[in-house]
Amino acid sequence: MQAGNNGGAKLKNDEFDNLYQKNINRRETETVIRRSIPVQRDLTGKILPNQVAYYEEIEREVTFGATHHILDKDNFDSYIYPTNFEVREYQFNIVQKSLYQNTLCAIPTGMGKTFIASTVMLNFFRWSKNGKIIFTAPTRPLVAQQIKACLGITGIPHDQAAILLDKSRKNREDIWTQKRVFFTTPQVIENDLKRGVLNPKDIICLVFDEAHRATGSYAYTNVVKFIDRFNSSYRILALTATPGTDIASVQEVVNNLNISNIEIRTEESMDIIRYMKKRYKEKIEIGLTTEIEMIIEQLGIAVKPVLQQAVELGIYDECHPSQINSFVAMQKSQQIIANPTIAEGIKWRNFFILQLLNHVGQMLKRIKIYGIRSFYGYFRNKFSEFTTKYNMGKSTNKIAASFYYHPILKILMKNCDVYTSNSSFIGHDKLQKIINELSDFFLNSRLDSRVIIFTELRESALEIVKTIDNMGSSSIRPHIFIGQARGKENFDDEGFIRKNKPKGRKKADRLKRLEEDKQKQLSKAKQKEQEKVERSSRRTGSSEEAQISGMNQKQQKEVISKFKNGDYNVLVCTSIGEEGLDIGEVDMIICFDTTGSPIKNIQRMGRTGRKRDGKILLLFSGNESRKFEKAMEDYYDLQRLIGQNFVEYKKSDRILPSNITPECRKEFIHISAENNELNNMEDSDEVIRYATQCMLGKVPKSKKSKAKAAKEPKGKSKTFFMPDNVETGIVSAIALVNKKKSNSNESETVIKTECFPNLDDIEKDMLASLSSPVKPEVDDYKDGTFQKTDRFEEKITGSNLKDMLMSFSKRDEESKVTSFSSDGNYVNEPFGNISLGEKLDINDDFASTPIVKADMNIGQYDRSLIENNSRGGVLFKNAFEKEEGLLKKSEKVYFRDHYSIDNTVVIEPIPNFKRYNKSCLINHNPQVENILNLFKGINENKTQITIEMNRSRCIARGIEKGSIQLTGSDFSLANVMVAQKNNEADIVWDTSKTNKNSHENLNELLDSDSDF
Amino acid sequence: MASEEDRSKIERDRLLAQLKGKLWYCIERQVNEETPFDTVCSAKFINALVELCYIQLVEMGKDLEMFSRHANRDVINNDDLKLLLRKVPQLQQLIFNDDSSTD
Repeated sequence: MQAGNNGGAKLKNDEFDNLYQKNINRRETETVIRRSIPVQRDLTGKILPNQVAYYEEIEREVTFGATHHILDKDNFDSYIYPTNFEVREYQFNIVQKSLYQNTLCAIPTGMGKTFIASTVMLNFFRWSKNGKIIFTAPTRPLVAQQIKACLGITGIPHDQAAILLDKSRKNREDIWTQKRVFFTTPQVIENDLKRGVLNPKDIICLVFDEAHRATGSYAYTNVVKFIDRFNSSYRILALTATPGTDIASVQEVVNNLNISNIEIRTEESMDIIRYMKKRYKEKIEIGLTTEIEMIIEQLGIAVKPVLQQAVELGIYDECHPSQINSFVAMQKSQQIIANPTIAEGIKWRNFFILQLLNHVGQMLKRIKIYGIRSFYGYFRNKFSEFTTKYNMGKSTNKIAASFYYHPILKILMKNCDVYTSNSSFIGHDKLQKIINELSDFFLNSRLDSRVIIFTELRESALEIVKTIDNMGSSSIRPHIFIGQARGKENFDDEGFIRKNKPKGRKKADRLKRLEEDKQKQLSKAKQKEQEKVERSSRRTGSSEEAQISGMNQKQQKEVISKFKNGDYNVLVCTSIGEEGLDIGEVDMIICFDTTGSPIKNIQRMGRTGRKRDGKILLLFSGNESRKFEKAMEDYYDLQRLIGQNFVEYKKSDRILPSNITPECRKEFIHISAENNELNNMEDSDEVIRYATQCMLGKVPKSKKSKAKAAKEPKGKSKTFFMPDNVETGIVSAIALVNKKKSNSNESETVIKTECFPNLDDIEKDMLASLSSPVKPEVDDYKDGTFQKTDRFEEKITGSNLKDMLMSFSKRDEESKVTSFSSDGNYVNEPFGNISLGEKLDINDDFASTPIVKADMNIGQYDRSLIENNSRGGVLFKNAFEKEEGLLKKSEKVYFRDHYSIDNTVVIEPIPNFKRYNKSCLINHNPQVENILNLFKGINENKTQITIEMNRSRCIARGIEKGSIQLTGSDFSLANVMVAQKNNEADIVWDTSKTNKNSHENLNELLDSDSDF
Repeated sequence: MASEEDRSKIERDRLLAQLKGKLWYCIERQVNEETPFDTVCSAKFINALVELCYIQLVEMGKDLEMFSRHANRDVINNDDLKLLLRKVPQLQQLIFNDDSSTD
């Protein structure tokens, strides 16, 4: 019984651990150390309320048990490092570390991240027998790159590899179960984990490319979270060129991906610098042209009154009109809107002022960084939008009106119209610079040279394309490269006017309007068509087209492939070209503008200098150089911080047993012919297509062997992945509540179903367990019964006898006895208290179940017999049965004999003050000490105390009877006390008189009292 | 001298016994009054109460003596009792209101 309980408790603890940690081999122990800190007290030394008197230090220690993966012990002693390429020290170091702990590897672009990943994947492939190795990257080209590296460099057999890039692939279940190395996007993994197609416990190695994206709720984060619930024994390798913009974002990535180590190398790192291709970085500060400065001046004059008003209202900091910053204005306007304490009228006036400043800021930014064309496009749009609305009376914004209707803007617009109508006009010196650089570059460079120009704005990109095109050089062929979102349409003032002008209410008016609409739409479509035709006739037509409607994936691919072929050799990109596109080798990067984000800047620059030296041209104007320097400085600071252990890491499982340290085996890996084919492929789509075919077993050689495997039974039911030791299925609430009871029932039924045909043995057992005095009776009974029954099933073994007895309720037994007795055979047979019994099934002779009883206590037996006789046997028993509550019959009798109705309450003064109490060690004051001693004495039943007690009691009796007259004494103190007590007790007593008799009386009483 | 001391000790013991006996009587009566009719208290319980009261009373006596001595008096009077009961305003009121009414 005891052992069983202990076992139960232990199991519970295990269950608890499992519920708490939900992991396979991860154990987390938490130590809380409380340290007291000084608390504030009031003058009397009491601690003031609501204070915490301690602070807690929580130390968590994570340990890992043995992994659940089946490991290949033969390969433990070594790991392979391919020497197909030059062995680079930094790669070697990083590989070594990332084999044993989750690593975030941040090395500059083009420094062989994919190689590191492939090597780690190869070794986990060798070490485990069935663990799944997954590579994920956010874009197809990156996946293709990795496939090439994995199959082409490390020689992972192609029939073990699978590519899952699109959700449309049908037999993914089979692929997940059959293959071991996977190349996918994180979304596919997330999906398949949730669908239950991929078992998270099978995963042993997970590689994330572009890991800096693992923030927020990106699929990377979700995948890791999901797997963590089931699996704690898997390796994560995260690759990125830029771990984050600041230490907080790096920490987030580290937390999300369970990173325990960061390997960071910068372009200046000692071990990396000699492998870096040279990148000539040229920073060019470009001044503003006189035209631009003039426009800025004019804008300043126009906006000055508004700015002044804003400064006076305290909603914008004072500055020169040319320094208005749109971002600051926007932030402030949002603050104003969010502030509920400002009255509505004032709030919206302030908001409109800041909105105007925001627009002006945008204009200034555009003109400073991107030039007049970009500015004028934006300005015209805003201007026409406002003036139309204002003229229609839809807007009553006087503040904006004072700006847009400022006379100086008319001059400005006139000038700009002149500039922009001249197609050869160059809106910014940056463009001029680009023209110069490009023509220089293409004069003395090879034919396959490529240039990428980065800019943030689409309009600006188009302007650059047009400007380059205007050079008229056939060797420079530019194209725009942008994302797939549609371009914003400019404000349609005509449409707006028509929509909002007063409408006629008559039917004719309505018809007329509809007619007009139709005509308008027709003419518009015609115009568009015409424009399209015009555009296509120009060389930059497709770029213009793209700028308006965006580029879908197909168009993007086409442009990229043309760029690679050399149809285009200058690509003007927005931020889409910054990362993840396999654009190939680029010799020159021109950054038309800068961003405040170091990641973007680094990714832009990382497009070049991969296989041969490259050149980077940074064009700055306005405050851009400062912005750039700051961003880069921040980034180097960050790298320094990471190096100095400012990041808190998470502990990860080593997976390999800790006593094994594999040795490095540098090997040249021979690549199979199929895999080698990949090395010759350049295009990412081609790689993916080939690899996919390999996966599906369509490579000519292995075609037939794999064809059958594809026809596995389909329609597998969904699998739910559960943590270990989980009870599945539906359990009713009542089953949970009565768990203990149901168990005992179960054991009982087990006993019941057992049959014991061998009766004699059991009878003997029973007899042995009965006590001798009642043996004859039992024998009698048994004989009687046994003679009457031909056959009965014995249900209780001797060893289970006691258990069975316990489980029967008293009442049952009594009723059975009664019914048995009423049968007629044993009416006069008295049954006392039961202590042993036997349950018998008598098939034919008795409808009910009789019970054999034996009374151990002969004395009690006699008593019950007497009662039985006096009250009339069966009748009495039935009556008594109903009255019977908690007490046994014998107990009831005992009480009847020993207790009277008078003795209902008894109070015994035995408190023990010295037990279970820490304070017993502290000394009490004399008074309390006396009390304690008193009770101690009473507890121990000291004779002296008993005697004294009796004496006092006798005196009291004497006083009560009036036989004793108290004597006085000389002690004044005692007198006072007694006197006082006297008053209260209302007893008259003479203090002066001394009665010698009382003493004698007392002695008499003491002698006579025999009660105590 | 020795016999003198012995005598006073015996006298004292005798007195003590009588005091306790008196106390017993009072307490038992009080207990019987306070408790329901069918409650019976064992002798031990009464004894414990007696001893407790005795300790308390001795303590009280000592205090009263000190108070009177502090006031340069030889006789303990109502003022000392007032001082003793300074923390039990209800009791104080009960006793001294009665006093004033009787005075």
